[in-house]
Amino acid sequence: MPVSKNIIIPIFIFFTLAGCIEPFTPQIDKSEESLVIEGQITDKEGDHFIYISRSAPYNDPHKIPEPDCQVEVVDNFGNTFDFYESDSGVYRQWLPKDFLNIGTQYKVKVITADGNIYESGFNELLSPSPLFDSIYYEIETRETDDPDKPLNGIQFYLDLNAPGDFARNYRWELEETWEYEAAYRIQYYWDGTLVLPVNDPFFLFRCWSTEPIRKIYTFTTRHSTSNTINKFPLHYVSNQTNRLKIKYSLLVKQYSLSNTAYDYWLQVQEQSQERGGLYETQPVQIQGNISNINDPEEVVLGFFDVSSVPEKRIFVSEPFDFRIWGPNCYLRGIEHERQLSMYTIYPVYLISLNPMGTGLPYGVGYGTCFDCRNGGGTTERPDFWE
Amino acid sequence: MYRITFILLFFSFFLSHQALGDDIIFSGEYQDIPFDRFISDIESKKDVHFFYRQEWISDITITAKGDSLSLASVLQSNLAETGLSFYIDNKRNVFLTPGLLVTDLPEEIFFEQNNRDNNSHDNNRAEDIREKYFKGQKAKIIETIIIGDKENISANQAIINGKIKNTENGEALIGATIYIEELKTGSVTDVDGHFSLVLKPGKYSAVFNCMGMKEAGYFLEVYSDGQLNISMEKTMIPINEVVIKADRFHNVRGMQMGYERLNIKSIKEIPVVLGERDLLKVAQMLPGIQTVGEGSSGFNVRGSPADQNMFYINKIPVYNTSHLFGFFSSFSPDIVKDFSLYKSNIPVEYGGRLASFFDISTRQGNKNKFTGRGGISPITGHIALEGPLTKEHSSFVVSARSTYSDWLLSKIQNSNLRNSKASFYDLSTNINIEPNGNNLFKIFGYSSSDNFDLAGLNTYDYSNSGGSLIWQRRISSALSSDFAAVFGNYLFNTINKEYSFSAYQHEYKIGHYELKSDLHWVPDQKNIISFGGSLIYYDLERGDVVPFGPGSDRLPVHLGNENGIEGVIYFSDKLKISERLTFYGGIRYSLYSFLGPDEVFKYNQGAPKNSENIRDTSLFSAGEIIKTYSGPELRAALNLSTGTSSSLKVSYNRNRQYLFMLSNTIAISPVDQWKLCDYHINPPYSDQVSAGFYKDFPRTGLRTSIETYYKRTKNVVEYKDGADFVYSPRIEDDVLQGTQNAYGIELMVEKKAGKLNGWFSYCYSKSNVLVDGTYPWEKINNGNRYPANYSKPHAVNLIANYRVNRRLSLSSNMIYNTGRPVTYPVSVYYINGQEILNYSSRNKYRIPDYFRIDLSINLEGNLKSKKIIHSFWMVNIYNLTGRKNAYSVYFKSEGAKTNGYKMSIFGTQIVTLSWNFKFGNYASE
Repeated sequence: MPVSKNIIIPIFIFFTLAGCIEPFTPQIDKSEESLVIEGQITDKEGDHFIYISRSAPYNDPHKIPEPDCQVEVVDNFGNTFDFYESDSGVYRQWLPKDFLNIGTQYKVKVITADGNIYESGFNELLSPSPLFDSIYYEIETRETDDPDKPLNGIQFYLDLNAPGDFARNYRWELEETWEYEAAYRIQYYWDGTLVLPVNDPFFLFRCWSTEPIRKIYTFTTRHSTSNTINKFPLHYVSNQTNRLKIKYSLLVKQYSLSNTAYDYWLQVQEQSQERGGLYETQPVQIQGNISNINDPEEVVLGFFDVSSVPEKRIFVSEPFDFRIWGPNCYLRGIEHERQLSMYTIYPVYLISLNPMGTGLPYGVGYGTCFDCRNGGGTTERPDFWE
Repeated sequence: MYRITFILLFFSFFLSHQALGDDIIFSGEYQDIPFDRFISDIESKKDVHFFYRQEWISDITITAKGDSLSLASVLQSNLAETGLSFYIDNKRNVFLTPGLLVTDLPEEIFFEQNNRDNNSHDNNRAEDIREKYFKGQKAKIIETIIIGDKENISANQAIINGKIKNTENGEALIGATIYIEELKTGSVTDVDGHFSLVLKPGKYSAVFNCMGMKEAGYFLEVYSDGQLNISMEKTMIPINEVVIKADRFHNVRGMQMGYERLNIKSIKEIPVVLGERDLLKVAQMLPGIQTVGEGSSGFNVRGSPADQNMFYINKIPVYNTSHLFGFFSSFSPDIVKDFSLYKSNIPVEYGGRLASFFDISTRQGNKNKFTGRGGISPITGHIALEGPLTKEHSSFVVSARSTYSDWLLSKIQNSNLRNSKASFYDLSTNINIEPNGNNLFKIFGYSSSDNFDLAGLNTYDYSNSGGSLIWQRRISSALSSDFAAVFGNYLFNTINKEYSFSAYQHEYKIGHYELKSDLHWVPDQKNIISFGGSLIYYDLERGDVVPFGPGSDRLPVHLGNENGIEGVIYFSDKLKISERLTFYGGIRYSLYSFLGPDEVFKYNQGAPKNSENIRDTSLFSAGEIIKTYSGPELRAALNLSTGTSSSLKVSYNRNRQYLFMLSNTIAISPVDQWKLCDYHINPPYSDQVSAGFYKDFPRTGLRTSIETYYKRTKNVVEYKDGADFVYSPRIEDDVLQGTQNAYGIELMVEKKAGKLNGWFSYCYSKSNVLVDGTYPWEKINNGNRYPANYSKPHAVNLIANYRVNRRLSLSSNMIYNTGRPVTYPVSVYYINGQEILNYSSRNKYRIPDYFRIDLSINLEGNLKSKKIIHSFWMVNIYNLTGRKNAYSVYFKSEGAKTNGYKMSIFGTQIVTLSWNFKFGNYASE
């Protein structure tokens, strides 16, 4: 946990009267591309992945997969598992239960297409990560820059109470899923010539959207008397989206880390949250645990991690007494069918605005007015959904 | 002697039309006498008045000898190559002017002037004006002072000790010069106004000069050892007011190099941010002094880290000089009188830091009457009172300053700041007791404190306190001494409540206790010897990190207590080898012991010093010596005079330092801890060589210098990437020691006098660090050299001050420097779909260049001589162009993307109005 980081810097904003933080693109004359090897061996039987890519220029960020590598994971008993390339730059293998034992050490070895050999050190699969006691949330109001417009929402917390001999470094990966609805059921559709009724007006009404939360959460209890964590703040969900409207679910995966791995992830976390103060440390090139065995000076990015992964899911469906933003829909009235000819992306969904419930005038709209999939989700109900 | 303005010059000029008619005949012997001395001599002998500007004549000397000398021919021959013309009128007025003097006037003016000449009323008016403006300015008949015993004349030499005081308030005058014309030698007063001179018995004429004081001349009749106490009057002509107070004596004739002296009065008009007059902020405009960003605390002097500077206020060491994280310095403008800064050729009296010494001296207190001063700015209110305790013998000063910044915070948009609280104050007291001319006691107390509460999540409290007791005694006429007992404490207390289950509190404290003696001995005319010693005891409690609040599960960590003792003896001699060559040589020997109680870990050879590699643990009892470091520090300098107004100087310095600051952040933060050198961490030391050329152009009032330096520091302490000190009792695991090289060239042009004054400085400098140990974990940046955080190659500062009249002045700053080095991302990659930045090697890039112009308008209250309070208004416009200078550039991950941002602190014009007052009138001290 940073000490003076994130803390003192607002004092400077105090003197910043207006608009003193502005976007900035540095002039970087030379891009330094490096190999990135990333992967994880967990204690769970199943598919394991090693991702190999190249870093891209800062001014042109994109993913550059590294194909045609030979990838193998070796344990300290000499067992070797070859990984095959399932997708460009994605190397995959199904690992059986008997290969994944607590106390075993693993390393990754990669031979790139140009013949360079990269290896990590051995990493031990640590005693299983203690299961966390609970994930819960509290309704919280957050102040914003405008004192009259606070945010409403929920803050997730995590409690953990583990025996002291368990691993003490943690990293959490979060994934959110939420159920949401389109603004209207579909009464008719317009195929370019005719207005036709639909069989199931609700077939595009309900969606589920799943997204990883791209934020790194780490904590260590190395500096605590006991291996407990109390009310560790995770994700905050505000009323500015439709996430909390129907039902929301948060999945928390917990990785227990070695000290080296923790230091690595802590640096990644800190650097992704720079606040720009002089009371912060200079960003540094984060050193992973993989190197070119013939050229130790070569910068190799990424980390090969070995960890157990318990996970926990929590559902939220509660009638909150703060307003939650609904679907973003603007409905246009149609008085005559010929007005529909200006809509050319088919099918065009319609709802009758007639007080009788059928016929003209129609309401028409895009976005999540009728098709909830336009909000990013699918109509397929996830298996885990309660 | 008259000094006049142009208007008067013309006025007088028109009054007279006669060509070189009335010559003045005089007698005397003058050998290379400064022109102004010559003038006052002639004026005192003959009823003659000179009209000129001081800056025209400063470097001119007069040589003449004879019984009936013609003033015109003497001037003719002596001014031939100076570019000055002169004119003597029938009223025995002598006008000097640069360039050709037009003495022929058109007919009609002649005529008119003739008429006017006959008009006695006008003549009387001219006399009146002269009376009115120059009353009291007339050269006095030179007094003769007899020193020593007429009956008992010394055979070889007489040692004269003296003190120069300000007539008005009895305060000692620092840096006043004494010049013996016959010998072309002199002396300068020290910080207590004392000086000493060694002369052969005889008759001399002595000139006393001090900035802001009227020049005083006396004839001395020296018989034997004796006292010479002089009072000087303040000069009433503000044209003379200077911006930088380092006397000409220092620039060219003195031994000092890399030396600056600033005086609070002289920086009164310089624009400042938020209306707070601040000596240390102005110091940043001097060449070779840089900061990592505006509003950050700490200086980097000649490419050295901020922990290599020592700040003394009346000999009290101040370990944190900032208020509000560095926006203001912790010294109230009301009590500070001036400060000296040494950055090379550091006298042997100073030591214990590698880069520089800031020696701040405070007001001594008025010995004759009660007075005071104060002011209000948008951030603070401040007041100081002073007066005699017993008239003429003792005085006091008290000062206080506090802030009312909370209301400002409540106006801020950012929600964290809106709920924050900030306050600070500083207090000081100074008592001076001078029971007799040979003894002086000074008691000084100082305290400063800051409290900051960030949105209830974190609190920071930090404070300095200190006291000094100084006894200055003149033991004999050749020997004076200065004894001091000093303590200075710095402590901070921080509470982190971000997560209630890991909330903690940490209190840190450093105590510095020092006994010091300095002696000065003037055995003869050629030598000035200084010697002395000091003993410092460091008592440092790194403190405990303890859980805060009932819900906290924090593991308490004892960071340890440290004790150290540093003993120093020193000796130096300033030797005048010849008229043109002066040598300064000194040696300082310091011995430092790191003392128990402590637990010292020993590590396996060839392995990182981490907890896994502890081989052995040694326990030391209280007071036991754990490790001792010692070494000599040589200081040498040479001054070769290359003419009356130029000199060449070279110097070499070694310094050693026994403590350092644990800071892994770019700027110094209040929770940075000082740490003593210990069993594992060796004391850093540095060697600096510098050379410079100094030249004055007295006629234009310009003073120039060019100085170059090369500095190498060994054992400089650097931090491993990701080092975190709060939890770490074993610092050796977090730091590495390397070598730092710094070099640069500093150019300075100053104009001290005139309506337009100020300075221009340019500095080119570089500083880089190399940490390249044997093993991979002993390297930073893969063992490659990298620029220090504050290495900004080009720095230009311009300060200009234009005095419209006595009440109104305009002042402006212009600052440019290269952006600070920074580490930029050179590529991006993805882990778990999140964009992650891959950064360049350390400090490979630079943030955008910095440029700023400030302006201030200063208005003095009326010039009535009888008033209770005189006030001074100042309107400041900081960052006139509103340029959004980059304070930092950073990258933040937002969703799946990373965005770059530039942050500026004062990204717009900041206009402030401040009001200052003092009791008395315009001229009151």
